[in-house]
Amino acid sequence: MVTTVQTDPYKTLGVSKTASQDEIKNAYRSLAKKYHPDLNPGKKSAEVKFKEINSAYEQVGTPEARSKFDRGETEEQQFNDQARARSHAGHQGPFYYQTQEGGGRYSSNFGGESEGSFEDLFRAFRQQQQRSSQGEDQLYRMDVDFKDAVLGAEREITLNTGKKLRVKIPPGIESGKRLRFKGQGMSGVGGSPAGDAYIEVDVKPSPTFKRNGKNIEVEVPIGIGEAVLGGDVEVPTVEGPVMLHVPAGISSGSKLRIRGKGVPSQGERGDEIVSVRIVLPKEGDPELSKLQEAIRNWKNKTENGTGGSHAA
Amino acid sequence: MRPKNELETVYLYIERRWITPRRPEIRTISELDEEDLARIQLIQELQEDLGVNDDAVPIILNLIDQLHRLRFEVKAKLKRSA
Repeated sequence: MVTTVQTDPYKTLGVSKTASQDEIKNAYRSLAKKYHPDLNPGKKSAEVKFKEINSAYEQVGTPEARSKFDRGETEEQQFNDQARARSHAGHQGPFYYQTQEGGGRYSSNFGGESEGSFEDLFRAFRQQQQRSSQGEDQLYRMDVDFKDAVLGAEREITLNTGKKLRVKIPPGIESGKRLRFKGQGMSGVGGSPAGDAYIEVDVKPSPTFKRNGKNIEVEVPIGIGEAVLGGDVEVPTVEGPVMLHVPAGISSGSKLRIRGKGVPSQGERGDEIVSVRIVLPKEGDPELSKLQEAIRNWKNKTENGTGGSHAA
Repeated sequence: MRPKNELETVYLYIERRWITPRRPEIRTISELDEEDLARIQLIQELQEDLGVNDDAVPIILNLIDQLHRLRFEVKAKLKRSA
């Protein structure tokens, strides 16, 4: 196992022929640090280089060896290689890493369940591998009516894979929420699991209803008669119109609550908040002239009399 | 290893637990196995060629052993999954 290197040992060590013994030693040490096979396991080039450096150092590393080499006694040197190898610090026998390659006694201390085990690393590695061969996820978008988003619905959609999928829209879903269908994405490579399909819900705004958390807001026009005298008005809800009692003397912008007609959430249901808007008859409408006359009379009475309207 | 104090060196390394030979008692160098000998040589190269001091030797040995173990396990896993 002796390398019969013909190259110039000074060159191998990167020093001049006139370098001091210390310089040679330092050059050798710094190269050995870099190329020691046990610090570069698995790197064959490092081992070759290390042997070259060693061989060069054997040739010029001591004053005796160096003077022999400088005198040109290379033949004797090669002849004596083996003997010298034993007496000198040159590397003999296998490198340490070679004794550990098949799972050596010393490195086995780190195997199994003991401290420093690499199981965590391998687990992460396996997961990574699985992910990379897993089929891609697919994202779909679906428009949902306001009412369907509040009450829930069922739809059928056709996936890119050609497959039809029944989609249950859960009651109370909000815009931007994604429904996940495991394994309905693209198929995986080599038996790996398929990706998932995601359906992103886009709730279409309603001209009538506005969602505010659990509650639904709606605006309802009422006549001046209902506002003054009170009465029942029809109010839309997501489940169809209902009659709502408006108390007498209500102002525009007042809010009334219809319990349990809002958005289902966590087993409960929000309310519908009704905003009242008083609408007067249009100009030219005979209703308006009647109203004007009535109010004019009422005004005259309250201004001329001393609280007469109350006394009657 | 310098022939003169070979055994003394071995005893010192055993005492420091840098090497742990299979046999409990070592009377001659020949009772060490190849792993021990390669490890001793590595220690000496670390100290003499690479300028590693006594305190750093066990740290470096530990890291080298971990690295060998990791390489061994990776190779084994790759072989199994191939």
